[in-house]
Amino acid sequence: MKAFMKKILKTLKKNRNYLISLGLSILAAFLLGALLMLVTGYDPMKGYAAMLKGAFGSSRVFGNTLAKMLTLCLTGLATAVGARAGLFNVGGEGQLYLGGMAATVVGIWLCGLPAAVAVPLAFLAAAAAGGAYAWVPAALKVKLGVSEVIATIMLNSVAIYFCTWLCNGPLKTADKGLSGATDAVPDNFVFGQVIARSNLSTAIFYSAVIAFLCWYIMEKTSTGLEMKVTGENPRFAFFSGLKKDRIMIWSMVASGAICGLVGMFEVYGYQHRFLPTISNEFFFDGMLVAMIMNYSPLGIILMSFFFAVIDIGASAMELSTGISHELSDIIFAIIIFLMAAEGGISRAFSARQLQKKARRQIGGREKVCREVEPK
Amino acid sequence: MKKSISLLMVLALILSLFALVGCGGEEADDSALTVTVVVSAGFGDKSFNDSAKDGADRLAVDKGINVNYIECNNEGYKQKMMDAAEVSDVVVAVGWECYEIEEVAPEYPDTKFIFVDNPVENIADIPNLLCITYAQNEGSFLAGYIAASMSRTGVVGAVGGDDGDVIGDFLVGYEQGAKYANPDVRVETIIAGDYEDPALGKECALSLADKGADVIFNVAGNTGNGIFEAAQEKSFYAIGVDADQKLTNPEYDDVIICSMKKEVGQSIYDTIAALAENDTWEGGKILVTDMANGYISIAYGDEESTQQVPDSLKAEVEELAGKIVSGEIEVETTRG
Repeated sequence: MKAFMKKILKTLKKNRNYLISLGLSILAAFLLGALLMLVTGYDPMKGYAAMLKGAFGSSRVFGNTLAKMLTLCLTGLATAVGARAGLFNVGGEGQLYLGGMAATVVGIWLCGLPAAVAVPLAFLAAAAAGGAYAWVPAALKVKLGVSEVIATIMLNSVAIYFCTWLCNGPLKTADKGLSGATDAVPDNFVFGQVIARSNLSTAIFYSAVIAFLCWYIMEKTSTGLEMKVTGENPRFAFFSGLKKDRIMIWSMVASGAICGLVGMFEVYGYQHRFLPTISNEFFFDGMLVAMIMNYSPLGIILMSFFFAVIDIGASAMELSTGISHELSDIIFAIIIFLMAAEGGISRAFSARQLQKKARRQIGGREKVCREVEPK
Repeated sequence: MKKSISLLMVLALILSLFALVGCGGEEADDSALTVTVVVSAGFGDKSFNDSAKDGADRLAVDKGINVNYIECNNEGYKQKMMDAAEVSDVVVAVGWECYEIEEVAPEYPDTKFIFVDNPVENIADIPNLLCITYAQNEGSFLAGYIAASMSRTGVVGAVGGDDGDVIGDFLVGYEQGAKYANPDVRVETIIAGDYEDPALGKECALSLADKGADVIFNVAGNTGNGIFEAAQEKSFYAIGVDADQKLTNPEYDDVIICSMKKEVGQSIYDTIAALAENDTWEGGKILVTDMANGYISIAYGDEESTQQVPDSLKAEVEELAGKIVSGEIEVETTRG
């Protein structure tokens, strides 16, 4: 236990400057948010209280917060898995759509079968659809040098419009009152609810397993190290005898598979049928979380909870106080903006530290003044 | 040192602002009803959603009812309806995506729910839910009649928001009305598949214009606002929807010849006003509003608007409306 605590302390110390600037960014974002509330004529204390109440006030909303966290965390980890091997997957939204659609189709087709057979097949279908869709840009990148960023962004639209067409065309439900949605997945296939009335389903357990695997593979195995080496210096990886092409492609496929599963969780977790609005750019929110946390798996898991609280809390805040929920977007944006400048901020911070140290030395021991160059 | 002093002063200023605001704060009237309008997309479409908002706004002014709004922006409809149900007496859900109201309403038996535009299947089992549907096919018949009568090319068009029953209802009525005026007329339709994208609406309208359509019916909410822009550029006519769009979009007064008015706001207003004043509540039912009870009509703006439709045609439309109300003309429907 003691050793464990020591380890945590060591990690904290190693990332001290990063954590300090993160904390300051968040603080600054909330202060600016408070300022905005004041300017628009609201009481910031009431606003933030309403936000907290909206995220924790009842078992239902807390369930929603956890459900939101699940989505953010998995999409963030998916980004991190790709980024670790040097591929920036911006196409998670499309992979999420296709994964959700594949799982829905499997669910509808296999409606006669027992859930124990059909649901695992739906899992496979979702992961395969998302993974296969990520394989295309990865292979293009590795074989032909096509920028994966542009390819994945473009493929998003293809997937979204394809699924929208399916919802309005071949798979359109005959249920009354619904335009542009598929049939519902059979009731015995969908995940059970963990908290009544909320969006939280047993998907949270599957997500926990996926999140653990991501962390374990990236941080504790040689595969993780190989990914890291490939991501940081592909030429070095190549000359060290790593199969860098394979590593890059498989990381991207894993990233896509996770996104595909998120799509399935959306459908099987609470929507129960595929609507073209299945995801409202959920992947991009997760991507931001990953970027803020420097693609660290543990950081993503923690930060996604924080973001989920703000996101879910903000819409409740709008209802009870009238403060626009867009405030949450502004807070996110400020944090992201400041974290993008994190390098500069922490450099300034360490320079200040060095200066202080130098001054102390000069003052205390009366030594010869030597200029201290900031790093 | 100077820096930290200025920082401190800024902090002090901010804190004093906090203190000032803390003094304010008003309490809502507890005895009045609280109504929350949940729209699946967002406001600002100048037709369907804004019409609902207008009705609720008037309730707040006329009847002193507390009104809240939730724009789902295409996310989390079910949970947002529950959020609304927990703090209101009446929840009004606008948009087909809120179909899960069927599951939400039984969970909150003390709250009343109004679902606008679409029926739910088990309505009879849910006494705290009222569905309001609209006979848009009747008004669209008249819109089609006007379109075909005003068209010089013999081709009229329509842009629909989605491929559902409600939009289908508009389109069959429109086509029947157009054929009623001129059996040789060709009716071209495009389904935009989006209610929030005026640029897309413009593209749809331009491609209809390429097919020869010179009067185009907007059945696509905010997407439809792009039709008006296209109409000005290519100088053809357009027909508004849901609200009197000559008034909601005065900048397009020269191209909008009339609007098929579907009084979503008024129906919400009347239902809730009846509840507030007489405690009347017709739950567990589908309320069908049509031309006979005045919720569906053709509007030509007010006296300041340009009048493109000649008076003789207006008289014909008036006469046809009478025939629809009396049942002499039976308009096709997809509402089932």
